[in-house]
Amino acid sequence: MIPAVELAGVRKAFGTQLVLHNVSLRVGRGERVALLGESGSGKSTLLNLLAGLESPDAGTVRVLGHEMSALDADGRARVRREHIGFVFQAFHLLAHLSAVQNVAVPLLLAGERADIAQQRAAQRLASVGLGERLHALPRELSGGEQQRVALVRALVHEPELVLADEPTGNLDPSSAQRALEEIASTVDRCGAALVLVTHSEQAARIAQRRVRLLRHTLEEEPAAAPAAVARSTQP
Amino acid sequence: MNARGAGAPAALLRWMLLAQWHAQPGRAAIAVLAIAIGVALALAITLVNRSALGEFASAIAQAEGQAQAQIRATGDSFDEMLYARFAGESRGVVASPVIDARFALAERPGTSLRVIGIDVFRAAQVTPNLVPSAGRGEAGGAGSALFDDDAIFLSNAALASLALAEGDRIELLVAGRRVALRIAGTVPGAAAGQSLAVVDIGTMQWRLGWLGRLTRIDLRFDPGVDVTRLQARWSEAIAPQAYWTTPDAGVERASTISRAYRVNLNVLALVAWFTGAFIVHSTLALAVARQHRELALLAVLGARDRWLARHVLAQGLAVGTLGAILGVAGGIALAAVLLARSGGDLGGGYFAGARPSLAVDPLVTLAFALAGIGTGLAGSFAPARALRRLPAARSLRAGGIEEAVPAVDRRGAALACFAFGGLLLALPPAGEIPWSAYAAIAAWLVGAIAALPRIVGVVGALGARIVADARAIPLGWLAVQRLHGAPRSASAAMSAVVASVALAAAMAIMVTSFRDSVANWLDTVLPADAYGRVAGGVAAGPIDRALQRRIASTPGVQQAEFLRTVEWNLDARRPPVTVLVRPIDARDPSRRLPIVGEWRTPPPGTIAIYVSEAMVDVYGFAPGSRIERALPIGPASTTSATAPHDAADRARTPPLFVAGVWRDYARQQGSVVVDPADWRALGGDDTANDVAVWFDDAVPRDQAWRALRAAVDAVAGFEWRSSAELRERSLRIFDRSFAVTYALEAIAIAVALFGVASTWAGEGLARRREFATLQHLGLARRQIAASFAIEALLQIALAIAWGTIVGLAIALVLIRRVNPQSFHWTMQLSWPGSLLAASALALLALGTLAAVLAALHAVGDPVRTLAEDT
Repeated sequence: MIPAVELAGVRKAFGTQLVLHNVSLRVGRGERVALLGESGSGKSTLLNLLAGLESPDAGTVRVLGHEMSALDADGRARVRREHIGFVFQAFHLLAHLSAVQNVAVPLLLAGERADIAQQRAAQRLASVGLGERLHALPRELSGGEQQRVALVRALVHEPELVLADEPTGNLDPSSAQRALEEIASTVDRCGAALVLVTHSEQAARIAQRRVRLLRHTLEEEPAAAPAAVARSTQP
Repeated sequence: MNARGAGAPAALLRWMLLAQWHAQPGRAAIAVLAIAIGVALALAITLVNRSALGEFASAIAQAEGQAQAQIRATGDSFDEMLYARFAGESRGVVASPVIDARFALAERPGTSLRVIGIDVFRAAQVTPNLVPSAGRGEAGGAGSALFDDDAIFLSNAALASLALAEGDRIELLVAGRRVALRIAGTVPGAAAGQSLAVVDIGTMQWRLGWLGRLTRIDLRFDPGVDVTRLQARWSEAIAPQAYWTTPDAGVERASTISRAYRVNLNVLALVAWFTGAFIVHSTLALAVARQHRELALLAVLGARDRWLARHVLAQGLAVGTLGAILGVAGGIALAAVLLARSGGDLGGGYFAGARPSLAVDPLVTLAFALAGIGTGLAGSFAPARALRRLPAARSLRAGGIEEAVPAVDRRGAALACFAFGGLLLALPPAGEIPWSAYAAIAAWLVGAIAALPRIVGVVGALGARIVADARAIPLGWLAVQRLHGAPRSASAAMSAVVASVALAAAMAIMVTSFRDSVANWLDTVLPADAYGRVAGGVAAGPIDRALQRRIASTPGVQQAEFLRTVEWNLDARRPPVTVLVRPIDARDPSRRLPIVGEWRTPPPGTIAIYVSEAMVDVYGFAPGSRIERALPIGPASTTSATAPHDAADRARTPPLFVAGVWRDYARQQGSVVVDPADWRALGGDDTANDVAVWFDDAVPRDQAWRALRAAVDAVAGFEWRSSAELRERSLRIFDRSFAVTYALEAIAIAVALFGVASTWAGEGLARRREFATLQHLGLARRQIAASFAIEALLQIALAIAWGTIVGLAIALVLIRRVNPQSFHWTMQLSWPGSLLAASALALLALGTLAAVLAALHAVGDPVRTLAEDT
């Protein structure tokens, strides 16, 4: 089966500043990988390469069999639209759209009818306990509620690859725990692969593999059994 | 994904548009209003001018329409023997003799009536619309009132405007006499709204002073007549007294005289539109910049570049469409109001007295609507393009707004616009309209806006260096750093101010220059203490030699000078030029005429003439040139041995020599000044239309005035005015003719004020998070407002300075190109310092106030503000 992610010999620099050097990574379908590293090590850059938002200076980036650097802007957008879901640290909800409209956005971009998109979005929001908050604007939601909306939006179109950039960075430990449980169960349910950028040990525990960016290269860390997230009570 | 909705992205687009407008309705309203005002003004002026011109042309056509050709006087009139010759020697032609003149009315100062004298039987065959109808109370048959020598027939419009009815008496002023006539009926064939009167041609000649003279002959030909051959045969024979033409030429003449004024007015209306367009661009550019994180998110989620651009263009389309609808409705309403209140005359005086009805041309209206929509789209084009360069990933982080602001600051773009504008200025006008000069102005405006980011960057860098070196006030330091660090955002906010200041300043400089030039001109052309005139209406001047002697010998009068004016038709398709017979000091003509350039001594055997600037441009009467044309000598030439009657006479008449050019603001169509001695030597009469009087200082002024009035007491309708009165009246007419310009100038400033207030109000809201951060850092609310106000002050001041510089350049184009090419006159440059300073202060004050209020409103709870994910 075609892997979810294949990086081979990727190099990326911004001007004279080298960020990634000869980075290779393979993520299988349904696999959960935590990408660790210190601040400024290039984790977000690597994520952006996977999303097709940046292009490598050298090497290849394949996502679900699509070589991203060979696609034009429309092609890369189509891959993101149809196959990838994003979870951000800062939520990034559209300020002037309600919760249900925010969740419906990926469905609309993928060509779904507006009424059906909103219906599906409402169902998904209800499943995470936000059924009474469908029409609230982002500024009317708590941080945890905003994160749940953002999470539902990332997964509503059942992507095959989820890219999460510090998804619990803004949350308190218990909210972070709930968010991680939700991410893990949803990706498992969808059979999606997960690349999770984090520097939190708690977050990294939901991954089956851990890779670390160190001195511009990627190193595989010893395999550890992913924590049964539901049993984990320690931060 | 199974279902595919055709309008799925459209639904998202609709949500985002509505949400955006709901969140910030003021910004959208300002953009809509800016377009609406521009469309409304331009459309209203176009509709009024078209309605007036259409009715004017229609009236001419109705009065002269069935004539297939005309023989018209080169001057005021021609010998009626010409008609006798023509009618007697031409076969298959019906020739209708006509005298067409305008008379002042007794007891109604400032009112005049167009009176047409016709041969009823001939007119019935050629121009039946002019045939009057006797009233019910009049006897019919051979003794019909049509032939009574005191009968006059008024059109319905004339009866209404003079509040008269059939049977009433009306008194005309004819060369200082009152001639009473009886309204014996109407002119049913006159066009609606056309105010005129008809009398029998005998009455016109015998009672109204046109004995032996005609102004035109209307012709209709039997089928089979070789008109071309007839014209060729008679054109030579009727010269120089008359010329052959067609009624179409009359319509074109009416259009020509007002064309430059109408086009100029339309262009001025476009000024408001142009200003509005820049406001739309500025508003949309800043709106898109503020949405950049949302748009970046959509890009990350997979929205195509095309869709994002479409979202921005949709905003422009929505604004443009709403603005166009409002503008069209407003324009039609405004045109109706203007026509009802001022007729078809928007101050130029070309259609004075007309009361046309509103004619709404659907195609013209549609064109303006589409232009309004196009303005909205054009304003969103640059912001939509800027999104292509937006790095989506980085834009999700803090900052990035600067990159989202469009900037046409590629190296050389502004310089290219300026250079292109310069090249356009070298092109000549087309159809006497300075299209290339108008295009150059537009190019320079675009260049001025394109140059803004670079100018702001330079000023910001300079400011940053100054505040770094000096002990800068922290609030000022913040403001300067903002200018230095975000030149594009600052430029977008300033562009509308620059455009409106530039256009308003240009108009103010041009109008002030023109007014000052007119005032100086009046000083030269009104050197006497008093001026007198009597309503004429006759072929000859109404001030004869006897009256001239009486005036000159009045106690208290040191010197009297008499002026004769005669029309001269040089081109059938153009209005006649005016020949002014008045004394000139040949040794130094600039003492009595505002001469432009050098003057020359006429060679022996030539007649010196001094022509206005229009004569040079339109007819090629260049200084130093010889003109082989005969002046239109007056009615005394019928008995003068020296007046040219035929080709042989013309060959012996000395040629005219253009000895100098003078500036004439009173006669746009052109004028020629000739000395009375030369005029009489050519066979011209010695009557006059006007008199200029210098008082003797030894005689008390009021005594001199009384004596002067007594000298002409027996002359009906003789009016005296002091030079101060004439000067004041002239400037009042000038101000009235520029009333629309003044109004458009005020609207441009008002639009700028709106734009400034709206921009800074929006900026305040957009920078709430920045203000919250500053609060965290320890700044108080009023300090943040003060810093924001300093920022506004710096930007608006810079915009005003740059706008004024650009405005001066545009004013020079208006003064040195547009006015000379449109109206054929030049003027000196004057600087309206106090007006510009007042406008600048108003902009600065309002902009700063808007910034302060916006900041105070936007600075809220810092914790809550930073906690929101906006």
